[in-house]
Formats: sequence, structure tokens, C-alpha cells
Amino acid sequence: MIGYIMRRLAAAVPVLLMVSLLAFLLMQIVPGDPAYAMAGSDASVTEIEAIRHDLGLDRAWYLRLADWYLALLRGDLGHSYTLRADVADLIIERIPVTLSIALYSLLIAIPCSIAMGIVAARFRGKLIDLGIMTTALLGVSLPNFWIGIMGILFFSVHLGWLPSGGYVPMGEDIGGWIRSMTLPALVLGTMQIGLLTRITRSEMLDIMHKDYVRTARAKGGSELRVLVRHALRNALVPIVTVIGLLFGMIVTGAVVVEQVFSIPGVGRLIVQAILTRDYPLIQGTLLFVAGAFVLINLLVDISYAYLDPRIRQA
Amino acid sequence: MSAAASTETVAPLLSVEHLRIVAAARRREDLLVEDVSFAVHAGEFLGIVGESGCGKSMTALSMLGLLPGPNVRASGGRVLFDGQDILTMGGSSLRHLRGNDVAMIFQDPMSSLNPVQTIGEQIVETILLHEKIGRERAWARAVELLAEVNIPAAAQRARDYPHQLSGGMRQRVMIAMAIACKPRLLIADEPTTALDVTIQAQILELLDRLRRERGMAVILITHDLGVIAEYADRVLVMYSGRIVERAEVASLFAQPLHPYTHGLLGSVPPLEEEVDELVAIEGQPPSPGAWPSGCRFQPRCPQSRPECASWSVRLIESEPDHAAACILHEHGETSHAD
Ligand SMILES: Nc1ncnc2c1ncn2[C@@H]1O[C@H](COP(=O)(O)OP(=O)(O)OP(=O)(O)O)[C@@H](O)[C@H]1O
Ligand code: SF4
Ligand SMILES: [Mg+2]
Repeated sequence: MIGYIMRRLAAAVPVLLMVSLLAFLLMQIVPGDPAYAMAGSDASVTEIEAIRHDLGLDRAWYLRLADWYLALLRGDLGHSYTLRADVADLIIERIPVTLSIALYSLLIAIPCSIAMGIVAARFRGKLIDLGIMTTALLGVSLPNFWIGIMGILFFSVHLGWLPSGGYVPMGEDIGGWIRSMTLPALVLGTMQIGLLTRITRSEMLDIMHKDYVRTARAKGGSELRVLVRHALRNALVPIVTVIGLLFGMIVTGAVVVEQVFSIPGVGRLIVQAILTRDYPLIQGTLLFVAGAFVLINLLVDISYAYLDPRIRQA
Repeated sequence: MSAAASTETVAPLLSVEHLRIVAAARRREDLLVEDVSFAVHAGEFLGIVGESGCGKSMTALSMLGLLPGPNVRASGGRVLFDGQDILTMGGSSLRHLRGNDVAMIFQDPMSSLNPVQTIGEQIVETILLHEKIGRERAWARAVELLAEVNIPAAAQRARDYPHQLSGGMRQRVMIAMAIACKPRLLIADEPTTALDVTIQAQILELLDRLRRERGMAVILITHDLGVIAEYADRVLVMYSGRIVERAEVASLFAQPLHPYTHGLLGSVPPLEEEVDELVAIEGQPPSPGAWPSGCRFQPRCPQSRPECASWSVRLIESEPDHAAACILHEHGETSHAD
């Protein structure tokens, strides 16, 4: 298993380098210049040129690219132009924030959608199935920012239960942290629930007619036991696959949700980096997201072996 | 046979009365099983034979309350086990019955075991569902059961997953699981169709040995008349959802009454060679919903006559314990041409 993990990680290196290259080239094509953003609107041309020189932006792009890769070899992600701090530190500082929302949203989404998916499959074609699938469809199709704003209007403005934004670190005040994360996590979870409910339902429908599910009934197991211990247990491989795929949705969702709720996470850092053309920060955050993708995929593949003995022994 | 004769006065273990099963199709109901009645006594080996689609599996599943819902259901009759009607049983009584009093093994051992649980766990689950014993004792019992169905190195095998076993071994596991709680009735729905011939014989020997040792009743569904001849005490011949002949095995082979049975036996010298498929009769059985009125065998029957189409079909007992549903026997004739 260790050897397998090592091979997978090694195979990911070229992918990450390609992602960095693409991100770099893209930023060369997109108009805009960090020097303008840093100098402010009333700066003179010479001032701007000076900043460009300081940042090394007057050098050829391939030289800058080579510099960036060389620094990466030393484990250095560079220095942010605008935030005047190490890119690596900036990212590490924000990981717990984004990870909190992501995990919290999964914690809401996974149990809800699995329960809803099972109920919908069990009562296929009944009113409750229709209700659940309509809710799921709404979850996928309503935009995150709209759900976020509606959530703020209802839970913060109308009911006054939850804060409308801001972030309370976990170390400071656990209760405050939970309250500040609940609404963002709910919003982020809605979309996941939509997708995960649908896949759970369709997998369950498929598996509920398998011979071994009939065997489980013939043994005298209760309906719940048959559905959970036998049917759901066998549906977990595709469900976990989709949970892995949700990660992409979580990243894009985090960008929006952190913006709407003014939460200082990685998503917000990416937006900020792009808006200010902060090249090292853009490169660094995108590399981080790509790395996280690779890691999630690896975790998903490892979990297959755990979930299915046929894969384990193959 | 002796088992049937000596139990004549004892109340049967299972008694099916006028069972009727329908399948809801678009805007209509198809009849799958009609007016099926028979009884099984403790320790008896009953065979059910008939072409594909004649309702054998549906009849069997109804004995566990396991008809594939929501569209298939029993719409009439009773299935009495120990005097209790399974068809109207509530959820908890049904769960108590399944796996405990009545157990079933299915045709395809490849797909009938849960692929993500070890076979030991699957047997343990059955035991723990019905008995209040510790997990460790249940595991020990599971290993004993595996040994009892002749699985070598049972203690190690118990930790295997189904995909690590051959088809024959998996069917043994299914049998071990089925007998785990000492059921009084074991239903085997074509348990050997998916297996090769030598394994088939071993599995059937095993079932017969367990029946003798444990005194449980066995209902064996098969296409193979040779198997019926070798193991069964009594036999039901089904055609298009009905029992067309019911007899003790010896009399069925000595003197088949129904033209359909006669056709089935046509290529089998009684009590000798085996046949794999029932191919003796020309044509195909009609599918449910397309059954002719009167006798459903009529389009394929070499002895059919115009009255057969309007005859009200019923089993007619012409000898003790030997009945056939054919108009010929109403007039005291036999279906023999010779
Ligand atoms: N879920 C279902 N819904 C509707 N009809 C069904 C369903 N399952 C089976 N049937 C029909 O019920 C009839 C009886 O099926 P059954 O499985 O009892 O046949 P069988 O005698 O066991 O055949 P085989 O020897 O092929 O196993 C068949 O004609 C089949 O098409
Ligand atoms: S009733 Fe008529 S058609 Fe049916 S089996 Fe007897 S002779 Fe043949
Ligand atoms: Mg069948």
C-alpha cells in the first residue's frame, strides 16, 4: 500500500507542474499588471516602472518562469506582492478556515443525502420520492450566491439566529466558530446534497434488486438492516467516488461562499490574488488546489480498497 | 413413500391452499399462479418441476412472503405454515419465520451472497438475527456449519469473501446459512442449475443428508426429472401457473396421467437416464396474460379435443395421492396411447 501511495504521488508531480505552467501562461495572456494595482490610480509612469523593476516584471516571462520553478525546487512558493508575506504562510494560515467549511458542509451533506437517497429509492414513485428529488434538483440548480443571500436574509436578518458573515477562529470561541460556519456550510452543502442524493437513490435502486439483498431479506433481517447493512454498504463505492468529485464543487463553492460571508479562507485568497494580479499568490494558491485534488483522488482510490474486498485482493 | 404414508394423519407443516399470484402490468393484472394447492409434511422431500416461467419461483417465494413487490402479489388463497397464514403475516412475524422456520436457497450462488462481507459474517448474521447468543459463539457455530456442509478448512474459509470461493463452495455456504437456525422447511430453487454435473450431485446429496439427519422438509424446484426420480418423495408438475399433476414419485414415473407429464417423460426412460432440459414437447409455453381459456396446455397437447377449450380445469384424483388436471381423466380414460 505504501509503495502504491508513493507511486501515485510521484505520478502527480508532472500534473502539478503542468497546472503551474498553464496558470502562469494564462496570467501572461490576461491583460492587467500588478504594478498598476499596487501603485494606485494616480501613480506616475516612472513610479509604475520602478515597481515593475522591483518585482522583476521587466524581465522576460521565461526567465521569471524559470525562477519560479527553481524556487519551487527549494520548497519556496515565493512572496506575495500585495500582502507582503510568504505565499506558503498565507495559504497555510487559511487552510483551517476553508477546511472547516468544507468538512462541515460534508458533515451536513453526506448523512442528509444518504438518508434522503435511501428513502427516495425505497419509496420510488411515491410522493415522498418526488419531494426529495425536487429538493435535490433545486439544490443543484440554484446558484450558491443566491442561496447564500437568501440564507442571510432568513437566518440572520429575519430570525437573527446566525451571524451574516465574518469568521470566529475555533481556538477563540468554539460556539462562535460553529455559529459563524453554519450558514456558509449549509449553503455549500446544498449543492452537494443535490448531487449526492441523486446518486444514492439511483445506486440503491440498482442494488435493491440484487440477489444478495433478497438473501438478506430471506434471512429475516429488518427492512432497515437490509437497506443499510446490505444495499447501502454495496453502494458505497460509487457514493464515495461522487464525494471525491464533489471536491471540485467545494472549491468553486468556497470561492463564492467565502466572498458572500466575508470569510478569510483560501477561496477568498484566490479571488484577491487574481483581482490584484498577484502572480506568486495566484501560482501558489492554484498549485495548492491542484495538490489537494490529487490528494483527494488518492484518498478516494485508497478507500475503494477498504470498501470492496474484490478491489483489495486484485 | 414411507414418509408420506406415515404422516397421513399428522397435520402438514406447510399447506398451500388455492394460491393465486398476480403481477400488475400496465392497466391490467397478469395471472402468474392460479389455484395451486399442496401440502408438505415434516421430513418430506417434495419436488416441483415445470418449464421456465410456469410460476415455480413465485410459488416458492410466497412461502417466505418474499414476492417481488410492489407489482407482484398474492391475490388469493392461503399459505399456512404451522397453521399460520404467511400471506397475511405482519412484518415481525415474517422476520421471525424467515431464516428461522423457513429458509431458502437460490439458483445463482454467484450473486446470492453479499460480496463485501466474509461468508462467516453472513452466517453469523443469520444466527444472531434469531438467537440470543454472543458473537463469538455464533462464529464458532458458523465454522461448524461450514464443516457440516463439507467445506474443507472451514475455520479459515469463514474469513474468505464470496469471490474467493468456487460456485459449488458458494452454494454450500448458502446451504450452511440456510440451515443455521435449524429451519423446519428448506426451499431450494434450482440450487444446482449454475453448477457443473459432479458438483450438482454433491450438493443434492448434501441436501438429502441434511433432510434425513435434521428431519426438515425440503422443497426442491428443478428442471431435472432425473433429480426428482432420485431424491423426491412426491412431485408437483406445474404448467402455466397451475399444478397439472401431483403424485408420488414412483407412480408419476410408472404411470404419468397428464399429457404434459407424459411429454416431459417422453425422452426419459423412467428412473434411469437424466435429462438436463425439458425439451420433449414441441412449442413454447404461452406467457402469462396470453394463456388460452380452458386447459392451458391445449395448443401443445397431442390429445386435445374441442371441449378442452371450455373445460373448467381442476385436479382430478384418479388414484389415491395421484391427481391430474386433464379432461381425459374426467371420463376415466388414461392419457396413454399404448
Ligand atoms: N417482477 C416480476 N414482475 C412481473 N412478472 C414477473 C416478475 N418476475 C417474474 N415474472 C413472471 O412470472 C412468471 C413466473 O415466473 P417464475 O420465476 O415463478 O417462473 P419459474 O417457473 O421459476 O421459471 P424458471 O424455471 O425460469 O425459474 C414468469 O412468466 C415471469 O415472466
Ligand atoms: S385437457 Fe385436453 S388439452 Fe388439456 S391436457 Fe387434457 S387432453 Fe390435453
Ligand atoms: Mg425460477
